[in-house]
Amino acid sequence: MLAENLQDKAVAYILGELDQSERAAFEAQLRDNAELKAFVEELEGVDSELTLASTDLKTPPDELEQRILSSLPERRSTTPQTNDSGTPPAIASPLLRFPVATILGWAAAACFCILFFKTDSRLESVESEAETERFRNEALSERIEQLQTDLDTLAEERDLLAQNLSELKKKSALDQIQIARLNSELDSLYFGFTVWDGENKVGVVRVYNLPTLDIDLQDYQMWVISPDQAAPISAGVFQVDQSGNGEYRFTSNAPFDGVNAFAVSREKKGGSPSPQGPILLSGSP
Amino acid sequence: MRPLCKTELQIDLPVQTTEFSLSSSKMSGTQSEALQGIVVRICAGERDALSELYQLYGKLVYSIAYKTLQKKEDAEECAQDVFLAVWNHADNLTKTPAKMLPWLIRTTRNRAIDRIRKVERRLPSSERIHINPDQRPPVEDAETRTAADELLGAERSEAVRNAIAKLPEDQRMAISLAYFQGFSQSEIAKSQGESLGTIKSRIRYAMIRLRNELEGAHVS
Repeated sequence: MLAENLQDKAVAYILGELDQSERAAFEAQLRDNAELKAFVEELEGVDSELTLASTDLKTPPDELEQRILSSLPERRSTTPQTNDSGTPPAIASPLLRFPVATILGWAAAACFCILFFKTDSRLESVESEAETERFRNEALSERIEQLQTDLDTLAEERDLLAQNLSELKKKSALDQIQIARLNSELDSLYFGFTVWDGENKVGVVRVYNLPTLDIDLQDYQMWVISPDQAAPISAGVFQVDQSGNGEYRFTSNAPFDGVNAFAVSREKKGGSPSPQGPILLSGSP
Repeated sequence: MRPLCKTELQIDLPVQTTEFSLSSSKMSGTQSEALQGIVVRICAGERDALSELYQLYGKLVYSIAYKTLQKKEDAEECAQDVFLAVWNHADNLTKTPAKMLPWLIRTTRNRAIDRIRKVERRLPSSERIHINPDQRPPVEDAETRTAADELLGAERSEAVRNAIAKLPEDQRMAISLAYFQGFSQSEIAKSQGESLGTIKSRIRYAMIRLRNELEGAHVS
């Protein structure tokens, strides 16, 4: 469908409203645009009939025809002329004995043949290349599919490994936790529990039914017995309440890894570098 | 003063028999061959062939030129230009003789308008009759038949008039001012107080409508 502005231009062309340069430009457009050309031809028919309907005939002067014919320049014929017998005239030049048209015809035919065969072989070559490319594309597509499958498998394995790692981490963490029940050789009523995080070197001890101490004179002291250290390692001092119960969180900066046992002794106020008083509680994780 | 349109008058005159009753694309095979023969002979440089063409279309070309230029001498020169153009460019017309008439009409109109533009003698639109496009002033020595009557035949000429009459009022007015009064689209827009775009659309729609109407008339 022609754009409206192009249709308007076509009407202006038909009505003679374009100047010479615009007409030339439009006629160039007509040569390239078949749809536009068809549109103009249709409207030209209408224009002709409207022009005829709106034009009163006026007889020109008699001498106009003669004036026109007299003013015509010599026109070089553009159609082949024949002699009386109807056959085309022979070419006058003695040098050109061969029919030029025949030679040109054969030369053109030869050129077309050469062009045809060259084009044909080129076409075969292109088709072969296209076939090769198709195979390559198919192979690549298969490879891509395989890689995608592998990728999916690896993703699943990764997820599984992550899960395992998480579980292992949990297990490892648990493995580092040591729990020991603390018992007493002095009195069976005395007991306690120690939970020790070997990885982080922190622990908590809970004691039950221990004798209350004079807080100004004595403390209970926590000890860690490690295979890495010859002597027990102090983990600090603490007190118990009136019931003899107490909870103490302790840590240690001493260099050791394993724990063999925990112990609680009664010491002088502030504790001792090594156990001096009686061991009230002890136990191994 | 512009000539009256006499298409509505019924006058008994001996009918001029013309060898060609031409509507641009409805030429018979015989007519087409005959015209092609004339054009081929023009291409061959035969002046008699051009004379034959002048006999067929000379009056039409002169009338169209006169309608635009309103002066005998200018119309004569314009007609001379057109037939010179036929002589020089006949090669382009050998394959499509059916396009001879539209080509002549368009070439004549263009040459006439170019001449006006060159000398800047176009009649101002204020001197034209605006209200009724059918009321044009009489032309000196005007014949009583239009070009349509002579070249298309009475029946076809009637069909064209009927098709124009069937147009919606605004389209009919625009077509009438353009063809019967010779107004340009800009001049029509100004005289009607409408935008140029509106007038262009009206004329475009009118021509398409007339094409459809006249196609149907031809078939029936």
